[in-house]
Amino acid sequence: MERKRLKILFFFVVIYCCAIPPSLYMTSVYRATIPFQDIIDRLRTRELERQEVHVRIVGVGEFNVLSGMHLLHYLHMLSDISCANAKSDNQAVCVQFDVIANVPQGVDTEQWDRALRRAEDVIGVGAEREIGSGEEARRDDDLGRVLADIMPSHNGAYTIVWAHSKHANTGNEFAVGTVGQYRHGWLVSQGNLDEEKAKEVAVHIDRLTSVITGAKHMRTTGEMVESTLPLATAYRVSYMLWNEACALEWDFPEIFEGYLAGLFDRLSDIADYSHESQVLHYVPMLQEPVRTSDGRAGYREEDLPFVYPTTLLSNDFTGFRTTINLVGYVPADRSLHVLRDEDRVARTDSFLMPQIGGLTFMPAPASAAGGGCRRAPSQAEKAHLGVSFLQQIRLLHNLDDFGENQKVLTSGIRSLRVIRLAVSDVSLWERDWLIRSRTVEYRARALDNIRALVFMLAEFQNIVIPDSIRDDVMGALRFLDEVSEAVQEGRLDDAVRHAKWALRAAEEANFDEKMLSQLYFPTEHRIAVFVPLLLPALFPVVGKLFSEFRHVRAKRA
Amino acid sequence: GASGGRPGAWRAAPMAGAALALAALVWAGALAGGAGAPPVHTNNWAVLVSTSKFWFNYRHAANTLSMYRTVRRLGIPDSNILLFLSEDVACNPRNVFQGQVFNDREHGLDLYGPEVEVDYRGAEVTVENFLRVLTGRHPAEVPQSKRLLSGPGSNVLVYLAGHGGDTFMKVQDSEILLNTDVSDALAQMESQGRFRELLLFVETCEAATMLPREGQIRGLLGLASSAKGEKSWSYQHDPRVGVSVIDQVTYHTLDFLESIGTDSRATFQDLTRHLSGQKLSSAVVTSGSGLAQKRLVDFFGAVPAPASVLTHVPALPVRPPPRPQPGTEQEEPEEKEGVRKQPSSSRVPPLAVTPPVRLEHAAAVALLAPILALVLSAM
Repeated sequence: MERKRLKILFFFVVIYCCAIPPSLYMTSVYRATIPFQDIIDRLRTRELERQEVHVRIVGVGEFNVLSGMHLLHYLHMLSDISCANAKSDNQAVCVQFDVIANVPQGVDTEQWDRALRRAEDVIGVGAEREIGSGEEARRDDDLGRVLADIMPSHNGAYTIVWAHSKHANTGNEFAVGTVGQYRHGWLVSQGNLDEEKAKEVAVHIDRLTSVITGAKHMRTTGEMVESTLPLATAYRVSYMLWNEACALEWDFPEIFEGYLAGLFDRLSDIADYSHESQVLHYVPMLQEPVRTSDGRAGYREEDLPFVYPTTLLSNDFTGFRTTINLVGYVPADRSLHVLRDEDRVARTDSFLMPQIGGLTFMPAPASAAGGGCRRAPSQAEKAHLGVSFLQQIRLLHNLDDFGENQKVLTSGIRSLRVIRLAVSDVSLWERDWLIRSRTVEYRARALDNIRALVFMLAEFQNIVIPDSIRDDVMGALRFLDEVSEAVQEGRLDDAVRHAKWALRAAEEANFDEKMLSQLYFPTEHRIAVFVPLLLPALFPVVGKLFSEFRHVRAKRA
Repeated sequence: GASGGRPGAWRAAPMAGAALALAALVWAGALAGGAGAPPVHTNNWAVLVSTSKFWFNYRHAANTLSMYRTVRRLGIPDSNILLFLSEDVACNPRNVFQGQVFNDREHGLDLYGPEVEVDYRGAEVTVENFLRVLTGRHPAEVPQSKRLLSGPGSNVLVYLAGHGGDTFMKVQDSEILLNTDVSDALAQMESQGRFRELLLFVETCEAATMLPREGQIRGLLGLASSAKGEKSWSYQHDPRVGVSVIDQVTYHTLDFLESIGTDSRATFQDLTRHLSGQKLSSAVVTSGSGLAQKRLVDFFGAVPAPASVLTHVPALPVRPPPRPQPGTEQEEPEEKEGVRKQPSSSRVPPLAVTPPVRLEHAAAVALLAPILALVLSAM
């Protein structure tokens, strides 16, 4: 009997001893290994390596060795200032000027001479120029191709062709610089090329360089460059044609291929874009237009945010994809304009709806043939929509708005008028600038996401960390390493791609539905649940154990 | 007390974790100083929550619906409002005014109607859903209409009405929302850049205990209807409805907001001055640097970002015929269930995986234990 009691007692003791470890083990929190301390140490270093941009100055025309030396001297000074400023202002871009006086290494002399003559021809040294003309654009295109052939440039190297002529017609008021669609620009100077003139030319070259490289736009210490668009690695572009009545259809693929495809091709490394289009009929504006004294109808600029129906605009944010809405509005029976004052009509009938896209008022259409309701757009209407959408996309991406294709940079020295030859949707130098700024923004945002996630996971020890979260975090860090490497080597395309992937991985981890700390059982709660279950049953077992022990001792005694 | 859900009000992080968290806080604070001026205010969002169930908590739903009506009137569109209503008082069988909700005895204004868009109703009003909305951590199937899509330029109003106590609020009579939960969520929002400024307006008993500590979260402002140890009282009982229909502080706040328009320059100082002149049974508590000078419409209204008119549109020629490649859509790799999307040229090597304990193993241990005990005891 005694042995039987002991066996039963021993049975329960073993049960408890076997049960407790599995209970604790099965309720332990699974946390994939993430090196929190390493990551935190690493996140202290937030600055992106400073990018060096090389600008080659190629001189053509009537200048002598002495003036060339003066120019070189001032350019070196400006280069030192630029890099010193870049360091102190935490800018990402430091410009190094190289003045090419001789034939570049590896380039055939005859080819070089041909290139210089072509440059003179383009610039029209000694001849009349039609600044900003189509012919000038064509010649610039030729020059760009020639330069690209003989001096292949990778991202981070630009060419400025400087031409000097005692007789060139650059206009009376401003010096003129020109930028085209490649990675080059050109500057024409005139007059007596003394030391003072060389200094002025050096400053103009520096200013033209700042336009091409976007040097002033960059920051490295996580201070984000403000974009008009919300920052995202993917965008859904929604094109809408709103008809006040039922007037116009559109052949969207033709408009897209004609005006927008090239732009999105060039931006494809920077973000992912998807496109969709729709046509809506019987969509009135929310307010009646006002009339000017000459009978034109329109909306005041300050009223614009209130006139269009925002409910029709998509704001889909699922999957970290931001929507850009581009709207063409076709009024029923009278053209609509944007009014600056009571009577003054704005230069365009197109405006940005900040953060969400842009809207363009189309001219009131002629009625459809045969008195029908709908008709296809004319070539002019397609062009109106296409270029408006193009310009809106450019501005939404913070690409520089060259008003009337030119901008004036003023300073103490004679102002510089920079003309952008409108030969393309986005120039390679603009793309470079966008890539640089997006690399910085993506990187900073990815770091913010990783920091927020790591901070939360380190603080809450009971949050389950599945392997997918770990993989995303480590993947994001690896991509960020590759960003630094690519930036150092001047591979801007790789840098922005990896920065994009880093941000995507970091956001997917940080915004994962499982990363809600309040879903998890704190450690002390496990004890609070299991102790009340096990402890009451343990008392009689332990008590009996002691009783048996005393009984056995007494018997032996 | 609460039943179900999370029972405790405290968690004790292990020493190592606490030390790490402290280090991270100090370091994060130092680095956070790298940001310059706050972002430009571009839009407004409102999260309006009534946490109470049952007919006799009619006033909490009326509080929230009144706030909903006011923010809509001042310009926040429905697409930017997330409305949580735990109890459908409008259609409650006890409601003599079926389909209608009033916040005063005169029944001059029906707060409920076909234009009211309730985003989370009934059983959907949970602590988890509320915290998911704040932190943005939703399952993929949650539609965008139920998400807070705010960003660094957003001013967010979070309004909570219900029963509460010292550092907690009751949700649905079955859960508790703790002030630590709210603080954690708001801190995460701040680190994620989900708001420019956030006003947390709490209308409960001991509402001030729900506000995070001042200065803990950058950009956070607080307005509470009662201090610690105080109750928050109803304003008016409606004999026809049979219950109280609105709370004091909410009533007087909305009464003041009714007098302003979308371009008003009235500030929180004006509001608190107005509240201090009313017969309130509790003390209104505010927190946050510079709250007094902030405009009311910065949170209760909407700021439409100004439109930018294009200065010119370039005259570009039409491009040559379409490119050889067909189609214009960017191809995205399909996101399959459970498979995380990776770029095609990713060089991330696969990592070794430690599988978690499987249930079958646990069941095997549970079965073997008594057998083992029997064997040992027989020896």
